[in-house]
Amino acid sequence: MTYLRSLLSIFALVCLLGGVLPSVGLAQTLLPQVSSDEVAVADEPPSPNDVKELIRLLEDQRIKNWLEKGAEGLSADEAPESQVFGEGLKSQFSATLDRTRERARLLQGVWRHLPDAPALLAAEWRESIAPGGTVRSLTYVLIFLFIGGGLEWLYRQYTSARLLRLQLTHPVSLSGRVRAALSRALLIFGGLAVFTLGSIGGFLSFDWNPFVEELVLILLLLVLALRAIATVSMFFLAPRVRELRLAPFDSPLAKQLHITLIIALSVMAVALAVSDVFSELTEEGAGLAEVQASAFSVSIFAGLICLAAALLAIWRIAGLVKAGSDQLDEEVASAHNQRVFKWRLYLSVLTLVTFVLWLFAATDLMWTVLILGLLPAALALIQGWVNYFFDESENYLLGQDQEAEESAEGEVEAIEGEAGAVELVEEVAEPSEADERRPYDTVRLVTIRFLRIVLVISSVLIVLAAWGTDVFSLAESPTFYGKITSVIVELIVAVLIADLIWTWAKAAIDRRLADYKPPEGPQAPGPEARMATLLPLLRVILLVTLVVMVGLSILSSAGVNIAPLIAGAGVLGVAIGFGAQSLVKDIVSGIFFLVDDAFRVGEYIEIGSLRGVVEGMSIRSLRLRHHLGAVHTIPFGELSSLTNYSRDWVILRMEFRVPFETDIKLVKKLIKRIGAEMLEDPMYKDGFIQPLKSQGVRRMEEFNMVVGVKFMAKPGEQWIIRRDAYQKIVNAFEANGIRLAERNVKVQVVSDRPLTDEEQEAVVGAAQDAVEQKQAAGPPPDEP
Amino acid sequence: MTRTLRIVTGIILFVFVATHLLNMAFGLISLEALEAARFYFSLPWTNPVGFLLLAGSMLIHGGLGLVAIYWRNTLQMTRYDLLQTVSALLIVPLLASHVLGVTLAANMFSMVPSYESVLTFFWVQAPHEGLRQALVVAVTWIHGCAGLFTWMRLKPWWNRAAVVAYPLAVLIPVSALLGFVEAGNEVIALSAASTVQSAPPSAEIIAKFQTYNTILWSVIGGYVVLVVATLLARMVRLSASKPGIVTLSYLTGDTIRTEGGVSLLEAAEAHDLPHANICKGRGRCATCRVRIISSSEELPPPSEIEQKTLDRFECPDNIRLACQLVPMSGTIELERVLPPDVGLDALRPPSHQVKTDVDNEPEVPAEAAAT
Repeated sequence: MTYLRSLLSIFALVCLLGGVLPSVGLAQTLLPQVSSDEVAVADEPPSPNDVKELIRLLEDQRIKNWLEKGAEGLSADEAPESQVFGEGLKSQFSATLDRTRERARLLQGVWRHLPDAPALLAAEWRESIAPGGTVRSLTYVLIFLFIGGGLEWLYRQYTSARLLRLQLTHPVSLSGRVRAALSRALLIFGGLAVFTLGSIGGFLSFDWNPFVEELVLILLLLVLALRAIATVSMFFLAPRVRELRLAPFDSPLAKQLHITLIIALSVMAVALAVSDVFSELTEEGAGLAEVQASAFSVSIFAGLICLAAALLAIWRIAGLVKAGSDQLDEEVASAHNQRVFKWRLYLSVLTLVTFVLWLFAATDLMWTVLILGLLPAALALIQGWVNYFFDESENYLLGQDQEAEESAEGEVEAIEGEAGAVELVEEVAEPSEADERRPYDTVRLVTIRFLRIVLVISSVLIVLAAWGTDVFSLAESPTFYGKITSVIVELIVAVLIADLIWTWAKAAIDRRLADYKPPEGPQAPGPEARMATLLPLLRVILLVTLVVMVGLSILSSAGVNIAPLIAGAGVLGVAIGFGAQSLVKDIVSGIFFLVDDAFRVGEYIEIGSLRGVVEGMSIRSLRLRHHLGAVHTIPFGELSSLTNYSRDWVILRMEFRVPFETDIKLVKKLIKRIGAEMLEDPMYKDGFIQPLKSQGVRRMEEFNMVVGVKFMAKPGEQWIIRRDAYQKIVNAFEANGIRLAERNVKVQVVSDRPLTDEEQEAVVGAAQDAVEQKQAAGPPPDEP
Repeated sequence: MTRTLRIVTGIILFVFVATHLLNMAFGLISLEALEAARFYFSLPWTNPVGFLLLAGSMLIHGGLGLVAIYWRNTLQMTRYDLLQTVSALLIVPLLASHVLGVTLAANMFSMVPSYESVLTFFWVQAPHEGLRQALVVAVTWIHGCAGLFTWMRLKPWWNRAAVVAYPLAVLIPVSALLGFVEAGNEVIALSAASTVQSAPPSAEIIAKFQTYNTILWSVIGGYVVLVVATLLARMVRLSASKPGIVTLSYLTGDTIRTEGGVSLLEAAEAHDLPHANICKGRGRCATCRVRIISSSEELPPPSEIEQKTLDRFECPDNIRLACQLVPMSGTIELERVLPPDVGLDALRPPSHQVKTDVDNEPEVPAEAAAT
């Protein structure tokens, strides 16, 4: 929850940015008006008289000479520019300085011209528009707004049911939320698009007198901009419906923010539109210097109003967000307030700097400062926004777990009473605490990175566009600037994309690795052990590949020919490949053994004559620890067949030799009882898969019969079970008077007199043979 | 009775406006076409019967509107009611000059109003009148459409009619306004081309013009006085009762505190609590019905309209219409019977519905309703 709160400050910025960006958009839509109008004028076909005049002029010898000279001068000017780099920079600098000086002079005149401005502008207005034209323009605005509005209404009739449904269903899963937000955006902005098409499209389909067209268009664009602002703010803040809100505000705060943003941005938009109308007016008229100066005064005033509106909005929003933090505990609140304060200061300074730059007509610089200055804010904002979005979904998921716990608690309480309930709750709560990890961590990281890339790249493009350079043509041009630009752009793009991939892969791999817990004790390792072996390898390979690729792409964009490098690497690769054939074989077959899941770390395997527990794997070889301590290292390439003793289950058979007269039924009963006992025993019960059971008489031998006993157990558990089973069975036999058969050699002496000592010795000597014959069997099999 | 009268007069007025606008759409072709079409489009209205019908409808519809304002308990209303009231109040001041200009001026200045002369007046001589015309078209059409569509939505034939009705509702005023613009451009070009300077108006004309202005302003003034008087009378009517504070607590967990004298629907909308209301609070559709679980004060009994609708839907006693129930004070615990995004199927009484007895189902959660 504190996490959410800490985002509040960032979200103040969301709104601000949501505000500033559209206004930038408005400025962009409004500012280029001048040039588009020039184009419109230029598009009109020239009158026949003009054409004749032009032809006459072109045929004039003096004009021809002058043009040729000019062309020479141009090429002469251009050549040194590219050669003498410093010269060009110097002249550029002095030109900028001149422009600034000129601007400063104009600025001084602003106050002087201010008193006459209304009268002068009114006169100019009357001149450039027919009587009644102003009101007529308003009529046109009204009519085309109505048309746009009507079409939007029609659009809404078909979409409103869907929109209402979106507002009423509150999807909780991440994908559901994303889908809902996207379709909501689509529906809302679709309406705006229809409105635009109806109003501006409808208007432009008629022919108009240029100034009226310009005026009406500006007003229509103004309305459109206001609506766009309101729609964007509505989309993010959703002041009416809490569940749709994409920012962590409660309803009153969201409402106030919404209103503040709309008011501030509307004031800015109106000021810009007014300033634009007047500059349009003076563009149209032939233009007395004084009239132009008056228009300039108006535009400076509009700028001042924009500045004031922006500053007020920043301070007001900061105040609102700060007030929203009142309910927090003190420490969080003070940290939060500090952050708000920092951002407020930063944005205020940024706004002021932007304004000053605009005042001195340093447009390029202004855009650069504004966009690069807004970039950190935008990044922080995007991060906060994405985090909020993910937090909401995750909180829901976690909340669901909690609910499940609570319901479990309730049930238990009903059944077992309070004491039992507490115990069980503790038990249930444990796994969820261990599972602290958030479900969307990887997606969240990648989303933030991706949005960051998009933001950075687009802001770089905007800055370059503000400098009036087409980045694509610049990158292809052979000049120094072009080279630098293309290298920088490619570097940024390559690094960002590599970073994105690396972040994603690393997060995914680390997550899998974190999931893996090595088996404890004799327990057989789970399937994750294989991944634990493979993933670190994969991670290193990926990192190396990414670094190499980024390095190569940067080198290639810097003009270094990388073909020899690649070819060299290829040749080297072939050479190494031949030289290290067996090494490669080891590595590749190792990967395939891992893919086959033939063995895992911790398993007991047998390869040919070697046996042992898999202790570890390197990229090339496998290390086996024999149970007597010896360590075998076997390259993967050498493995042909492999026996794994640690998979799923093992059956162990035991044999008891008992005399022929033994009661087999009793034996069976005893073994069954022992099996049941051992199954109950906490020491072995997890190890058993099938209990100890008697198989009856397995075979007959010369002097005894063999009773078979077997059990099925988990791999690794069988030895202890066998040990104790033997002991228990022997004890039970003894207690029940069952004797185990002993080896005895009967020597039949056909005589009824007592044997003499010599004869006895001879008998023992005869029996010795039989005893030694039997003992010739080999040593017992090797077992850990 | 009142409702029927309002709808019938409203439809008559709407048809008149529609024919007039369709006529105007001919301006997209040419001024001549516009003039030629006028005969056919104005035919139903220029004969005495049509004229009487039209004038009578106008008076009755306006009068009913004022009566409705008089009976309002509070001026806090739903967005739909606000739209209808404000647009209705605007129509008379905006339209007076056009109506009087065409009817009176013809007699006073002995000139036959033609589209060319009127449009010249609107676009060249008095452009602010043109602006007012555009405004009145927008306002009137919005008012008419809002009322008409709300009424039509309740009809069984609506699903078929909607296919045509929605596009037409946009097409008619848009083509009329475009025709207005196009014909306007034509008359502007004509007047710019005609070099003949009109003679300065004679004293007699000026005097007549002043008389005309006096009539116009006294009509508008009279209307304003009428509206103000209605509002005053309403205040007098309400001065006796003192509304308390009403607390509405929904089973979903939302709680609303509002002043008394507001219908439940209005209170819910003012607090952004979505509520189904297809008939926009006219007590016809019963989609806004709520189940009253408990109430600290005795609720006012259902009005005749409400009771009829409730009976049609065979509702038990604890079901009320949110748009008609106006508690004055107390705490009410309630739940919405239908989800806010209910479709038009809910309009049919339960006996005709495929799904029987919607009323006894608990409030459907939105997620479930969406599936």
